[in-house]
Amino acid sequence: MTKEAKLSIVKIGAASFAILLVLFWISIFLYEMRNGIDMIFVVVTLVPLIAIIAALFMFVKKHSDSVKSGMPLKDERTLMLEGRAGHYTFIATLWLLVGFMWYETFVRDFIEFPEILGRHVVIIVLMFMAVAYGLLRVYFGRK
Amino acid sequence: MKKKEGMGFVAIGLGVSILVVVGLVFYLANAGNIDIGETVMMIFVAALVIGATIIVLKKMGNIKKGLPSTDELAQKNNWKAAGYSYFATIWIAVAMLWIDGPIGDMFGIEELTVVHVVAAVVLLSGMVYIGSWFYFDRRGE
Repeated sequence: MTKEAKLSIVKIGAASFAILLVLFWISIFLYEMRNGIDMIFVVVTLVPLIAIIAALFMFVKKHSDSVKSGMPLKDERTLMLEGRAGHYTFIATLWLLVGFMWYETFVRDFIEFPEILGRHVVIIVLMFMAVAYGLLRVYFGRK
Repeated sequence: MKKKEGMGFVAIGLGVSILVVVGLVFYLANAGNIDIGETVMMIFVAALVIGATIIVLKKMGNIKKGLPSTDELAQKNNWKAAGYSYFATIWIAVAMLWIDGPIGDMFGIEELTVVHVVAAVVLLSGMVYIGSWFYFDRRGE
C-alpha cells in the first residue's frame, strides 16, 4: 500500500472518529438534558471534545506534512514510542482504578467523603488516559 | 537486571498469584449460592491468574538458564501488548458509559457502582493484555 493510500485511510479514520465522537456527545447531551439544561455538563464535556477534535486535526496535519516531505507515515521509532506511552498509561490507569476502589471501599468508611458514581469513574479514567497518553507520547518523543 | 533482583520480582509475582488463589478458595468456601455474574467474574480472575503465572514461570525459567528475564524483544512485545490493552481499555470504558446510560435504561440495568466499573475495566483489560502478550510472544516479531 502506498503512503498516500495509508494517509487517506488515516484521514477517513480520523474524520469517522470525530463524527462518532460528536454524535456520541450529542446523544449523551440529549439524554442528560431531559431534566433541563445543565451548563456544568455542557462546559465540562464540550471543552475536552473540542480539545480531542483539535488534537485529531493536528495529528492528521502532521502526518500529511510528513508524507508530503517524503517521510514514512510511521517508522519503527514512532511505533515503539506509541507502544511505550500506551504501556505506561495502561499501568497508571490500573493504579488509578485501584485508587478508586480503595477510596470507595475503605476511605469512605472512615471519613465522610462524597460518594462517587460509576459513570464519574469512567469519565475520569477516559480523560486521564487521553491526557496521560498525550503527555507521555510527547515526553518520549522529545527524550 | 541482576539475577537476584529478577528472582525477587518473580517471587513477588508468584506470591500475588498464590494469594489470589487462596482468596478465591476462601470466597468460594463461604459464598453459598453464586449467581451467573459472580461465576463469570471467577472465570476471568482464574484466567488472569493462570496467564500471569505462566508469564512469571517463563521468566523464572529464563533466569535459571542464565538468560535475562526480559530481553529487547520481550520488552517490545510487552509494550505492544500494553499498547493494545490501552486502546481496549478506552473502548471498555466507553461501553461502560453506554451500559450506564441509554442501554441500561432500555434493558433496565441498575446504575453501575465504582466496584462494577473497576472490576469490569481491570478484568477485561487484563484479559486483553494477557491475550495480546501471548499472541506477540508466540509470533516473536
